[in-house]
Amino acid sequence: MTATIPTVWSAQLQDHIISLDTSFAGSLVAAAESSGHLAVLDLRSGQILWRTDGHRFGVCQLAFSPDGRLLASCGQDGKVCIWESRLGRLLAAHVMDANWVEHLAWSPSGETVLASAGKHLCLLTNEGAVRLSYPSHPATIADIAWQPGRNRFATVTYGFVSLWTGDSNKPQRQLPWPGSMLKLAWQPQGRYLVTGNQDASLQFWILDQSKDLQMSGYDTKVRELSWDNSGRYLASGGGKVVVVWDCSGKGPKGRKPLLLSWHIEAINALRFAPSGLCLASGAADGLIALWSIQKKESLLAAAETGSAVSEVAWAGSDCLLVGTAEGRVLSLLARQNP
Amino acid sequence: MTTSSRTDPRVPVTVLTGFLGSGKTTLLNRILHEQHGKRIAVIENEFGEVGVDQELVIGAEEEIFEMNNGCICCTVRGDLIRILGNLMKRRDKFDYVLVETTGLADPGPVAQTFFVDDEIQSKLRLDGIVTVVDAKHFHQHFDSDEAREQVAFADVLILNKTDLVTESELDALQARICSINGAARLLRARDAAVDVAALLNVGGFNLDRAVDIDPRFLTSDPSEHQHDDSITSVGIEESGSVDEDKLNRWLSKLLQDRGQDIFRSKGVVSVAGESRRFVFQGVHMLLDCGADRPWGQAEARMSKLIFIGRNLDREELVSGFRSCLV
Repeated sequence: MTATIPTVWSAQLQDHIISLDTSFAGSLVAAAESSGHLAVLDLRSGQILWRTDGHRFGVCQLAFSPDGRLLASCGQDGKVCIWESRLGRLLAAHVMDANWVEHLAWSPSGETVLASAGKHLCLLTNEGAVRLSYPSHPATIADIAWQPGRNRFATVTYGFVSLWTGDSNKPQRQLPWPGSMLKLAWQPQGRYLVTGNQDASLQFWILDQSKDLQMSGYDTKVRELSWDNSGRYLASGGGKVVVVWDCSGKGPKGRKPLLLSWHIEAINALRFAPSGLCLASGAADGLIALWSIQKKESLLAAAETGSAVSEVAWAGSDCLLVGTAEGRVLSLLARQNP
Repeated sequence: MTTSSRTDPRVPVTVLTGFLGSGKTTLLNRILHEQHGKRIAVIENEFGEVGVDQELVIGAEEEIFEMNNGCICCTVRGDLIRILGNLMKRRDKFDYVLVETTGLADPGPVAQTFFVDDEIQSKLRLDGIVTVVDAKHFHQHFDSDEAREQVAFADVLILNKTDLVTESELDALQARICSINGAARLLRARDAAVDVAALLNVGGFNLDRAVDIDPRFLTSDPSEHQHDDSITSVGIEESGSVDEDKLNRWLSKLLQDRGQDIFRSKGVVSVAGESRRFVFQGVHMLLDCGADRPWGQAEARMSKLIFIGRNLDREELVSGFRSCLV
């Protein structure tokens, strides 16, 4: 029988949790609701510290700065907002030149935050001032991601991935692929960049060899991607089965992926714990699974949340936060050695 | 795969097409005004003079994505996937979604979006394509592929601005439009004043309505008309039953080879040895099909099909279908 992951606390917000982030340093959890509300909760107790109607029409994404002091959010009001994490004071708001600001990402140093709205990209200081503006992309930017620990990031639009440094508004490199790419995931070591694609496939870009590998055969579009911290395993969704690629040695080429079948409906969220090989998956079936990638008996424990899981995020190695489509935020005690 | 519209919990979507100045925006405002009790989300591809509650209007730039899923190649609208995916996450869900395309939009990618993306398909149902035609100026657009494609894709055609032309001009235009699309419901209007109920929940892409077609008017040779439009409707009506394997082979080969040119197809077919009717409906290469209600005891076993597309060869289609008969 599968062990149940104990719930530490559960908080009820109102609308679909569209974005979830944690700050271990600040001991905070932030949740964005599709209605446009932002809420910050105490990581230990689940108490709501503040909640505000942050973005009229809807929030798209939020993220804590690396030190946890600031919270950035963006939404369908065309704004990027920077908040004081603990008190909820609005420090700055920047209006971008498009209806929806869909993505934002803090640079690893925490000095800047990158945001995209339609075809527009902009790098803001942590005080909300424009550090760099960029020429328009030819199509809507589907995702943006900083390489962990580096002053380098990637953007992806229909047809190609672009690589940039944080100091220049000219791309370093462009990686073409004829199709719609949806999500980006950097291997922490920076050798691989992975895109999840609309046509139910996944692309490995091997940056030091200028090669790429396409992995197809997924059930549906692939939006759920997570690397383990060592950079050996990439977990992917794109259906009911978690597909894990082993990138050690010569890489994933020709290797069969590890398939983790247990969910009844499509996986919506996947995240490796910040260290070790414990992976959390959450699906439309309302179930959370904890997997160990090394062990033969790979399903460690599970939990039921009551409604479709929309987001998962770790806070340290044994605390897993879950957001659901019905506005619940749960904190689970996800011990890796039960 | 398709459930009946009566029990379908998915939110219906109507696509409004038509050339600039045809009266699309007037129609849109009329729908919103008459359906004011409902929560309707509007996705606009060109900002017009929409005088509606701003909160529900989302501007989007048309983005066409090519998809290559196995053997099926098609194009979808990336902007709609993004926006609709996000909208459907709201708790205060919408009762209806209207998508207003640009004057020059090809309805193909819009329609295919609702069949190719699993997330969209699970939450939204393409109900129909409504095309507004400017009765006064449409003859000027007849040479444009876009204008004729918009007519060809339609479930409902609104012949608007009828007050600006004579009755005989209107009849001539109507005949020409019907030769392109013989399956759509045609409504005449001034100032886009039509019965909104006739536009919404028409079930244009529902399998159970695939049979609401009468191909009898389409079985004539198009050369009887004086114009040589390359976009036409071909109706097939045959009594008797077909062999299932032959039908499957014929249909899949037809859509594989000619899918780019076949905009829409619908049919109800009598399959030998099957107690239930076989129904299908398609957009380009994408085909949705299944078994429908049982044939009645006294009902004559016969098949009705309709294809709307470019450079269709009536004889080839008819003989192809006949070769499937047992």
